[in-house]
Amino acid sequence: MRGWRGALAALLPISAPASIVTVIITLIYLFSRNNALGQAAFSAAMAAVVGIICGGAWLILRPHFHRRNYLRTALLLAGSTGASLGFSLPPVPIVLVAALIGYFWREPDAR
Amino acid sequence: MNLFLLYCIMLKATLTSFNGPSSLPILRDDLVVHRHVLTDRELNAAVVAGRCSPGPMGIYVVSVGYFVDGVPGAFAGFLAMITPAFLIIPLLRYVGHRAEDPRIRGTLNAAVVASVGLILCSAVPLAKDAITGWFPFVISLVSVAILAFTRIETIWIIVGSVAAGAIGKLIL
Repeated sequence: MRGWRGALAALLPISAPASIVTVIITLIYLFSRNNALGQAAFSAAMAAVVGIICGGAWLILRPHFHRRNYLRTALLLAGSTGASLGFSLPPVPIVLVAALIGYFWREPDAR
Repeated sequence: MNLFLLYCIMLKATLTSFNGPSSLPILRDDLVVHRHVLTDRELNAAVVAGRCSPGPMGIYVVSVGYFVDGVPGAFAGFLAMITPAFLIIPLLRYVGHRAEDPRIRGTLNAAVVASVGLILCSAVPLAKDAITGWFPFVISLVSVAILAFTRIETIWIIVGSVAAGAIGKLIL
């Protein structure tokens, strides 16, 4: 409604304070590195983050795993994982190739 | 590291990601694997910091920027995070109704599925760094279960794990 200035005015009040909080938490991590208790707490949080990443990946994936679509989803997932872990290919080309496959291999329920 | 280059790398990650964590493999590939300006532990800590803040998941790039180049790096991360929001405005005008086209939807869905595979791949080295015994392993498993089967916010999972880590240190 108010162009770029409006977008900026809408975006900054949300993202700027959150970014400052992020930097403060980063500083807390850096200062707590030499403290045994702080290090234990952050190590536990890092372990939780690994779980959160895996759980979050499942939440993103779940809607794509339905009965008529599982083969396409499974192959794309296996392909991207294999290309990254097995051949150490960079992420952007993998996503681009997957997008290209997705363009030509239409989802069954979309027909 | 050159600040503009850092901004460009982080922008590449935020532009090509379809959700917060899908920028993770791109950032890891560039900053940890190829340029060695960040460690897996720092990347993991950045994700922790991002998850603890009230902003979007992708806000961890601010912390990544801080680890690489201090406050200027954090600012570069902030700019890289908000830039796609501006670029999406003209893009939405152009794509708009086309996004409902089955082919376009299929293309985007395929890219999302592939990015999930990459997210899982990038979690492997982070797991190697973070899960060093049975206690963090249990915390990790519980986190997956809570996220997958409940509606509890991730911030509370982090808070709970921090408390568990501190108590575990005092008891064990």
